[in-house]
Amino acid sequence: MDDFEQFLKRQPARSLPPEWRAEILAAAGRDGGQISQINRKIGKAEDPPTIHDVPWWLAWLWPSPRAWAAVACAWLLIAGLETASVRSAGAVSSPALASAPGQKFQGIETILVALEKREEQFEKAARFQLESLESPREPEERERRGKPGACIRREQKIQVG
Amino acid sequence: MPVRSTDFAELVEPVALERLYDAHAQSIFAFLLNLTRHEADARDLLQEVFCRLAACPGLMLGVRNERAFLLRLARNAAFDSMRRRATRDKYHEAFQAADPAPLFEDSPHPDEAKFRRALSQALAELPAEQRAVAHLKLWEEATFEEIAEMLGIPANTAASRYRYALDKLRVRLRPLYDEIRFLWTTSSNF
Repeated sequence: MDDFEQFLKRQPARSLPPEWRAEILAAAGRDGGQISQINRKIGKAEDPPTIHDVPWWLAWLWPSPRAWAAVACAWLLIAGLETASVRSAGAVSSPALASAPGQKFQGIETILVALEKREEQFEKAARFQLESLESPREPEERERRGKPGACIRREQKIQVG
Repeated sequence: MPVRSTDFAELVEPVALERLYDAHAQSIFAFLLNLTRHEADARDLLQEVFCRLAACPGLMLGVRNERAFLLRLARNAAFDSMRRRATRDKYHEAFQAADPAPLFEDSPHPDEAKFRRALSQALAELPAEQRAVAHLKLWEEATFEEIAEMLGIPANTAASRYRYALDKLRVRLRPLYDEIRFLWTTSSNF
């Protein structure tokens, strides 16, 4: 550093007003405590431990426990979905893909097919419930309306009648 | 799990916050004042830093350089605040540039006082990024690597910003500096 820089360095900064200390620490204690309480009430993860009593392996993990927990949950969810879809859908996959070296594609396709089937089931159930709420019908009629070709059979009945 | 208490909010705040305040608040305030050039804003941001520390006791966990960490927190808070103000009030920056808060202690010597006021004004005219680097280099005595880590920029960028800032200060303050140096060498008052 040259003389000019040394001279600049020697200029003393303005002092912090001493009365601010009590105000700022009181506000930090009040607001910080409130935030911690809110976090506890809404069931957020506990605050990380202090620097005083944490082993080395925990200190390595602990700076971001939520991030680690989120990654672990995501992996568990993916593993669970894949297991469930393989069991329920069976070996649903195209022959071309089955022989492909990347078995991951087979797994993903299986999951997508299973999800589509579930969506269809939900839609059918919702339609069924909606129609049953609209007007009272005999159980047979309701069942017939749920099955494909019911409209055609009804029209045929009218024509015959 | 070898953790002594589950009530972390009551564990650290009173003692550790006071210790951190006594050790670092002056530096943080000087840095924030240089960045914002407004005493009330600097105070609010200083309070925000300590509120954040109180809300997350584990924030300092594993931190080796407390001062650098806290200055980085302060810098992020200041830039967030400036960004919010820029969208809310277009005239804020103009107002600040017109009447920046003094950064340095008053001096009983009129020439030195004049130099400090001119230095304060010259720093206000620098872009915020250059001002931040100049402050950390000159008054916090940080290395370029430390400055780079604090501000999230490459070390070369920190070095070049410092050079630009210093060149501008030199151009602006050279006449006054030469005058004071002359007085310094000829007088015994300094």
